[in-house]
Amino acid sequence: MSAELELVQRCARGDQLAFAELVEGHKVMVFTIAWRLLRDRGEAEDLAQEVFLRVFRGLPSFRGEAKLSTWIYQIAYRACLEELQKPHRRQQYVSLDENARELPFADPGPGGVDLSQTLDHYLSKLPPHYRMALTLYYLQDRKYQEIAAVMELPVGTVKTYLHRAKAWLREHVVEERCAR
Amino acid sequence: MRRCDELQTWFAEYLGQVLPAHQRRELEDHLSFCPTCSQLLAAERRLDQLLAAQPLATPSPDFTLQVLARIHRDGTNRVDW
Repeated sequence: MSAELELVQRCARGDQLAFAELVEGHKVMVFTIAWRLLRDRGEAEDLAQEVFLRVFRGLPSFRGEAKLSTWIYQIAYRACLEELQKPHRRQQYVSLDENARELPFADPGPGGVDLSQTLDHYLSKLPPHYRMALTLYYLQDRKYQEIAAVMELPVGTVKTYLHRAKAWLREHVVEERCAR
Repeated sequence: MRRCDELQTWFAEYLGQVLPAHQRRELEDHLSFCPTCSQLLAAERRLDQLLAAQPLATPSPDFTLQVLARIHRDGTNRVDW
């Protein structure tokens, strides 16, 4: 039995230390996902806690077919999407879908020359699924299969999201700034 | 011969060093005579560095205790902790 499955079984048997170990092992990634999608520290913290509640409730159904981290990040992604669907959170994003790519994007950006601040500003304009793909790409060692499994999408769709998001960011963050 | 926009979709895998060898050779051949794609690749490399350098976010120090407390509070625990 894998160490991962053993940890899950210890949790399911009511071993509080085992569950604390599980949370400790995944909290930074879950919080980072929540933070990057919700962009509010307090809300991200609350949602990350909710994710681990759902993980706890779902442990008896975890069979180890996917990696534990994939399953947990899937729960985190779904929880973020649910939160972002709420009426008070509706936000305007740039549309990178195929049929809307030519629409103008009238946002002058934050100004200044700090590229990481500029990047952060433009990342906030990306639709959540593009941001999630980018987040996982850089935090999951660029493994397309893992990203596809978490987002429940074909690998080809993940590659398309990444290509479109990076092309848009490249245009607004790197090329425009360097041309000034 | 492939068009520039088609080859540009390979940039991410090229920078991630996972582009298959025959495609890598084709892209590198193209880059040797296409200044537009070379400039775009340089910009993508810079973006790649910025995205990779984004820090992880750390939750509050008592995060795990808060989760355990919520499980107790919500009556989620099926077992007697």
